[in-house]
Amino acid sequence: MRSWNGMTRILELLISVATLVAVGIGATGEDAGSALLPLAGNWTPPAGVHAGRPPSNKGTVEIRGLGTFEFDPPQIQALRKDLFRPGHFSVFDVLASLAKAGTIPMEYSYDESLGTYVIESLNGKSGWWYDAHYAGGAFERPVVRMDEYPVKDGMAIQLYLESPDRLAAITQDFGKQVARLRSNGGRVVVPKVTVRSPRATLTFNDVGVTAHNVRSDVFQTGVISVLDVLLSLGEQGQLSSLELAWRDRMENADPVDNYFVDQVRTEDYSTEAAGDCTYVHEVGSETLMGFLAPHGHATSHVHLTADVEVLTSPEYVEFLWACLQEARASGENKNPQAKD
Amino acid sequence: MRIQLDGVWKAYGEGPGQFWAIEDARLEVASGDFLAIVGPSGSGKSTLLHLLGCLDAPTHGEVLIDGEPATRKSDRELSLVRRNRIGFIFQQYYLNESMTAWQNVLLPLELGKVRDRRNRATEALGWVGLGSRLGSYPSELSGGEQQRVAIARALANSPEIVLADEPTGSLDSATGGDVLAMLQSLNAERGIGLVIVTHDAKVAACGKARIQVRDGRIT
Amino acid sequence: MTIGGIAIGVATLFALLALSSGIEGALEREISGLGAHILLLPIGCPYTLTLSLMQGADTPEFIPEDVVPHVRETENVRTTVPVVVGKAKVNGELTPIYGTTDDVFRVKSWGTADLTGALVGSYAATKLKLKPGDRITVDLYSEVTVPVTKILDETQGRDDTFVFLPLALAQKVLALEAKLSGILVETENVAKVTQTRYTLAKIAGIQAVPPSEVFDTLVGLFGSVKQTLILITGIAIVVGVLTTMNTMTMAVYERRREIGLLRALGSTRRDVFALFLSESLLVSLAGGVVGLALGYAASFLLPRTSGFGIAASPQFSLAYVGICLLVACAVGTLSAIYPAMMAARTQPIRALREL
Repeated sequence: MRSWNGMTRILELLISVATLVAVGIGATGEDAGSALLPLAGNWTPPAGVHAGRPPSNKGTVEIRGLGTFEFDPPQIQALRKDLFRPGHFSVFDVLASLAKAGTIPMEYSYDESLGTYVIESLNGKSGWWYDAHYAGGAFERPVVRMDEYPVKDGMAIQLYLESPDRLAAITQDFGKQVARLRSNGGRVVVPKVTVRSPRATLTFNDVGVTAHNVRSDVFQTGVISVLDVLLSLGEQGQLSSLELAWRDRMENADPVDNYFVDQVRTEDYSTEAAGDCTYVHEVGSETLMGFLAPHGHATSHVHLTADVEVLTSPEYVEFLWACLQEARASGENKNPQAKD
Repeated sequence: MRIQLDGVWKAYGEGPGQFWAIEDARLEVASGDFLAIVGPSGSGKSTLLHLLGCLDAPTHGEVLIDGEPATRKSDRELSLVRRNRIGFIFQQYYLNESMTAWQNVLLPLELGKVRDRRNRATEALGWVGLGSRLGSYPSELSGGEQQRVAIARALANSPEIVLADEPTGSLDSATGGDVLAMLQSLNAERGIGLVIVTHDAKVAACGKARIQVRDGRIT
Repeated sequence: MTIGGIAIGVATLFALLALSSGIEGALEREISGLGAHILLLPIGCPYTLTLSLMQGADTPEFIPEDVVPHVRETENVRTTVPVVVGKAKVNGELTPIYGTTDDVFRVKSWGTADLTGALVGSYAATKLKLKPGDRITVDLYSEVTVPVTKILDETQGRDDTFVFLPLALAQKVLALEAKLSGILVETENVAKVTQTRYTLAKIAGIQAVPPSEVFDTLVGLFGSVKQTLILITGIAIVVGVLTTMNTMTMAVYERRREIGLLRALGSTRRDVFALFLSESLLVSLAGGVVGLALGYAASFLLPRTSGFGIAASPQFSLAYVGICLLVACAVGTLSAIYPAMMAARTQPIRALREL
């Protein structure tokens, strides 16, 4: 069974990489500077150099069976003040503000065991989940907590009734993450971290991850992101260098405002630098494998970059070296070929 | 049929450990002969027998079968000679333990797909007095009976010469005497050539001719 | 022991053959069961979208319904079937539903032409205990009530699992008003399918895919998995060969007295060779038969789905039996050649002397 699902995963990763094509990584991206770490012995990019633009334009959220609703960022406050700095908020916060204004009939609460806000009922029904993507991307059914998914201008958000099986698996996964965090005394320890390129794979077990506050413009101090996994490995002497590239915008995506991991190196491991290659990541667990939702993504998404994806305490984190050929024909989104 | 050893030398091993088992042997046996080869153990008499029967090849010299060198014959030809014209009897009987007495005797006949072989096997066993033990396995037979099965097997294909290596060596004197008598009558009544290798002087005395072997040389 | 070695190799081969043809057959049935020459899908990965269409799963993207007239007008298009799919609660149970128009009857062979109520696939009908005339509630984002007009005959394909509804009703339930999950297109002239496909692709908001291409790609993906399986089989067979050779060599050694005796009694070298070779052939056949039995059992225990959500039962055929037995004999014979040669070369007197 595993090998078949391994195939599906590869398929899924290829698809995620399709999103990046749409977003247009490459020589056409505007690099507002790369940081080669470690910098003066520190595994943190220089602070205060880059900041992401907080959402300012009106946006919309589509709720299946209810309609499309508009929201205005200045009027939205993050429920998770432990996560977000003022001015930034998540997908869930958009819904919460619509509910508060009475625009949508939604009941919600915070679930301690899952570490997130959950929708108890919306429009008299339960079992909702969401899909979201940034400008230039495509819907791919992420498994990221709704109250951790940062909102940017030009974003698309969709709420729909998820299949009970998949929702149960997602819920179970969130619960396991919280349990793992607790059993490690509040420290994030990832059982397995892999960094893969077509030629070699690095594996690290039981990696302790600490916060480096790379995106202190978006997140509060002490919030741990997926990027911190690599930075922590660097600090622990497991990596020799990392190359982070800040991109403001890309070919058909604006704003982007994220750090991309362009290179990961150890003494024996590196990949050839090339214009359209970067590391994409996947966060997941066994529970989530085997779901062929359209796109059966078991994992969080590539278009949510590592620096802004909050890390609770997953079973594994995988960084995958992906290179893309531009494959955009008019109106048709062809499956890109991942090449070495 | 006539088998000759013409200036035959046989060595075992190579280099400094080489050991000459037979040195310059000249010997002739024909159908109807009854030759006893005597000598102490280790003198090379068994080797002589093997050379006569083409079970082994000389290091120097020739083995001639009816005047023709055995070395010029193909494996197939030699096998046929062994199968149809020569019979072997060994001290340890060398019966196939997983076959019955009858099956053991049938074996050489099967190899040649001889006509009427099943009857011939039964007959041969009858001739050695074991007509009632056709279905017995060697483990169920006494030493003497096993040797008699071996004799029946050696005779099954009506050989012209029978080569027997210490045929009574594993038997007590009474049984041994019976076997010897049987072999003698083979020679006398059926004209089968007989070469018996033995260290027992009494057995040797039964032969019409006698040669002595000592340290690989015929004296 | 030799039987064991050969049996394992044969078992793997047999199971592999059966399973792969089972899965390929299932894929082919699935794709041809769609009933279309060309599939119009929303923008996105065509493979997963096709599979979603086949399974009734929700997709993240949709086709705007207003493209349908453009499709109908396109040259060489004979039938246009708009489709929405999704999973909804039919009488409380989550079931895939398929909303479409009367055009669907021209691409499916259901023997009926009435889509005023619900047409229920044979499997769904059994699961939901439905018969014609029953009224069903279909509920997800909205609820509708519909009479069952007919239970469809079993097709051995996906259609058996669906409840088919008039398009507008399905759209209401799935909250997909003015949207479609896909459009099935049947062409007049199949030879011109590729041309038509490119013409249709120019319509904004859709991509045009021939189902056979999807099939080929899925089979291709499966193919690389198959390659792994073939590798495993290859290894199993090599193991079988080595075990056989080893066992036979040991046997020759253990039977050298017997061989010596045979040679002394007048067996030619060829006789001895033939004896061992034929013995090994028999053992190989035995191993082959055992392997077939094991492989038969194993192919039921191995995973049935390909992860594309397609369940496939292994397909057995006499040809596979033949192939496997042939392989078994070949393996047995090849690996016995060397030991048999060694046996034939045994020097009679040396073999006899050894105790």
